[in-house]
Amino acid sequence: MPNLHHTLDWIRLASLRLRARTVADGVYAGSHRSRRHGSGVEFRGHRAYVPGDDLRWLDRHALMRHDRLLVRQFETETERVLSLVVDASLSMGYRSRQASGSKLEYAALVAAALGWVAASGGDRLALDWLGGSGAAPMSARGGREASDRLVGSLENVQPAGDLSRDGPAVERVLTRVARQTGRGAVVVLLSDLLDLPELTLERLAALAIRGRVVVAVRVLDPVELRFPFSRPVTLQASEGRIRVEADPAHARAGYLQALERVVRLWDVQLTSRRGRLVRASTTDDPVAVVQTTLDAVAGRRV
Amino acid sequence: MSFLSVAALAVAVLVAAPLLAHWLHGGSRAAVEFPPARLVPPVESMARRSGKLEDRLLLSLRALWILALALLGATPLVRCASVRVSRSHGGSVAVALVLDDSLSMRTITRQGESRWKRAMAAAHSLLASTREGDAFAVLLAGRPARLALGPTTDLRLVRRTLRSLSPGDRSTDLQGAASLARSCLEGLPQPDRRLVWLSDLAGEVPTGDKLTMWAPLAELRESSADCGVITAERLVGAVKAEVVCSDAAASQVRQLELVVAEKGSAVRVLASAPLASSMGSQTVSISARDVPDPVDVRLTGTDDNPSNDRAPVVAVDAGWQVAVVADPARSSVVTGGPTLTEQALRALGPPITVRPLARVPEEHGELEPYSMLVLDDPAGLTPEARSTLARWLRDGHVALALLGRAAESTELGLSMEPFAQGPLRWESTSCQGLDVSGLEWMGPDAVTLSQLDPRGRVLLDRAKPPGARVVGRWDDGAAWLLRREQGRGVVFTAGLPTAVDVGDLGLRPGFLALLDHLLTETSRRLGPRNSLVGETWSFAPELQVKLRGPEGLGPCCDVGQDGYQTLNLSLAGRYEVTVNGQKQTRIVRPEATEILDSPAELREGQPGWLIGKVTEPIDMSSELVWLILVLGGLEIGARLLLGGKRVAISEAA
Repeated sequence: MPNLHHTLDWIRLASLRLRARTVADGVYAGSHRSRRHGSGVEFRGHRAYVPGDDLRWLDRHALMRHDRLLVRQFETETERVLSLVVDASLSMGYRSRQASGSKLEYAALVAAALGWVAASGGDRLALDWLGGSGAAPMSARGGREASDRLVGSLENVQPAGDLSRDGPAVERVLTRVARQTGRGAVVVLLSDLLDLPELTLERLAALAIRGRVVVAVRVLDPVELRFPFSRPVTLQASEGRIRVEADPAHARAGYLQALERVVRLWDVQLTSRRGRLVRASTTDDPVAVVQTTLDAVAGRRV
Repeated sequence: MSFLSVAALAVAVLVAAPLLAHWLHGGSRAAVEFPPARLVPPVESMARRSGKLEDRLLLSLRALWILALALLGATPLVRCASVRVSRSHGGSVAVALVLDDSLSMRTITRQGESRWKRAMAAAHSLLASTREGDAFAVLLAGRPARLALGPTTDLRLVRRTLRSLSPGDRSTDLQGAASLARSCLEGLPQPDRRLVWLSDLAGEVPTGDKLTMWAPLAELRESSADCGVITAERLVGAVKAEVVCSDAAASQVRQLELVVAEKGSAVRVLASAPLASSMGSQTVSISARDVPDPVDVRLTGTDDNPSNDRAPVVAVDAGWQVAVVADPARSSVVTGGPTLTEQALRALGPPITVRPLARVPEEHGELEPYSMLVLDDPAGLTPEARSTLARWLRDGHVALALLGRAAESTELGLSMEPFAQGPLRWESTSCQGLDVSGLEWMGPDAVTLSQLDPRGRVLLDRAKPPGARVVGRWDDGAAWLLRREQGRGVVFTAGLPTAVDVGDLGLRPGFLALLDHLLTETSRRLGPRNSLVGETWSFAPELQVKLRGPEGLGPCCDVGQDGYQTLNLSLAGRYEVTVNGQKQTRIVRPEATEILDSPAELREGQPGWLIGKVTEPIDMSSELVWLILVLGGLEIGARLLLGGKRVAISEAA
């Protein structure tokens, strides 16, 4: 993983923070709403108004008295844990000429933005990895420091590992996530969903049972999405010793159907557990993807 | 650049080119990374995976049979040092193979097998390298040298002959074998002729001439350490044996034991005596009384040739005891000494022992020790003497009577039966000598009998006994020598004695030739009691002969052109010969020189000799043709089989 601070081009560097912040700022309003409001809710205090807050809770008296915009806080505004699980296996290191970055870099960007959003909203962040080298997991923690640590961890990772042969490793990670996240937590998996062991979908979907929200963000390269080959070609998988000689004229349709089957399987399994699947390409606008992801977290149709 | 180099280059191109094309073809499709490759439809990928394997198999088969083709073109290319027939001009060859079946060939080599076995293996190897049109003759160098198989192109017959041969205890006759071999090869149509020696050449080595002689097996000529027992005789209170050792080391810490066979293969040792640690011949005496019969002697320990470590013990060899009845007053020379007949017999050398007798014995047992009897100018025989003589002759003995003046004055009651019958007359004669034209059977010395200067003779024409025939005549045609069969024996009657005052018969070499012929007759009838391996035993045609030797009952005998039955034995030991029901024990012994003679040292470059194995290219073209056919069949089969599989995969997809 290129150093997000130094290796990536400045736009991406600035964008990451800026865009993350921008992204975070762009979607900050309404990141999550308390479902509990009305009588019986106890006043907890004030906090500074930020654009997007519900004007019903604007304290007019504080405005008149202190000439400051303040919002009343109630105890029903609960904290969530955003547990990010990032796939850093070898296949995530793939980047075609049509993309500005690898799938892992894109996933890291989206993960950092989501982390910023969460941190800004006062939620705690946790980070775990599937595969990868130099990948340091982060246990749930809050505040700005958590976001910085998240970005640092995302910058240090390199794609590594063959998840197709390492089912136990995936199981260990998901088990850890299940243990460290409680009711109401949000688990976001960022992966290309390729070469994952069969048990991954089942384990991930099972996380949704105890009130967690599970969202899978499938990140693919444009080449993987479109299979743009025109002449017979030998294809080598990044994970698993698979080498295929294909005639695109005959193979494209079959490949796209197989790809769609995988996506649908994930979609069905997650949706049935009140989770969501978000489809993304490394050429998509990351802001839009983060927005879509947050919508999925909120339960809106994506 | 040699043909082999060109062939190797061609092979490299033909084999490497498809490989290169394969790789290039494979290389043009460098793999492209595509993480979801597993989602690409499996139909074509499976075909490609199996296709790779099939392509490799077919490529391998193709490469192998192209290689075989190239090797076929470049054959013969394998070179091997072996015993094989080399062909200087590529045409047929005639080979005289001399196999040495003498005693020394039973020596164990350093490789642990006998020289004979090595020689036979080489003979078969040589035979395997022959082709149609090659002629083979097999000769044996054990004394006497023999032709085992005359030149023939029937190689199966040669193989059968080789399988029937075995080594023996003979001495070596290299010169005789070389002479036989040369005569075999003369006149054969094959221009390329070889004389191959599978022998240790322990003897007088023949010199090479126009015919190159080849001794391929150096291991046969390695030195060896051997002791062997030549003879063993029973004396009073002792057994005396002659032991010969080729090396002092072979005689160290060894003993000679007197043993008697018991049940099975067990033996009982009666006595023993140590060997002296020395090379050469030594006499060992073992003290022993009341020695049973039969009994053997054997050497303790072991050496390189165990086959000659044991020998039978015989009674003192009577050899050839010849009894001579002659009046010294008439039959001696002026200078004195034994009679001329005695001197002539002694001149013939051992094993003849001459015993002068005063008269013909009248007791049968008294004549028994003698093989032959010579009467020189006898005066007549008593009836008892005649009876004893008749019985003795029937047993197969030979008698000669040289009649002279004494025969004319035979006393009453005496006669010359069985030599002559009726009154005998001594008459003067004007003959100079004998008609030698009828005496070829005596050999070249018979010509000396043409000048005898006789002062008289006994006329035999009217005194011939029944059954007698004239085998020698005076130059005037009168009978000089009669021959008469008497049972198994034979009597000869001559009409001139050896006395020098009546003729020169006793002084002529022809007289020795006559005596020698009579001894041969004796040998034929009685056989030698103690003979060397390889000497021929001869039996009269009418005799019923049975033989039991060291290996049990044996076949007997070959029949010569003269009707006589002959036997030439190859093994030393004790033999029991039964002739017309009468048993006789005979001993066959090896020759001492066979143990003492060392194998010849042939040097590289020795004139007329080729030494060592030949490095020859081996033609493997027939084997390679078969290999090419098999590989071609495999490729066709593989293509048919694997082509079907591809169709099945495609259909499944």
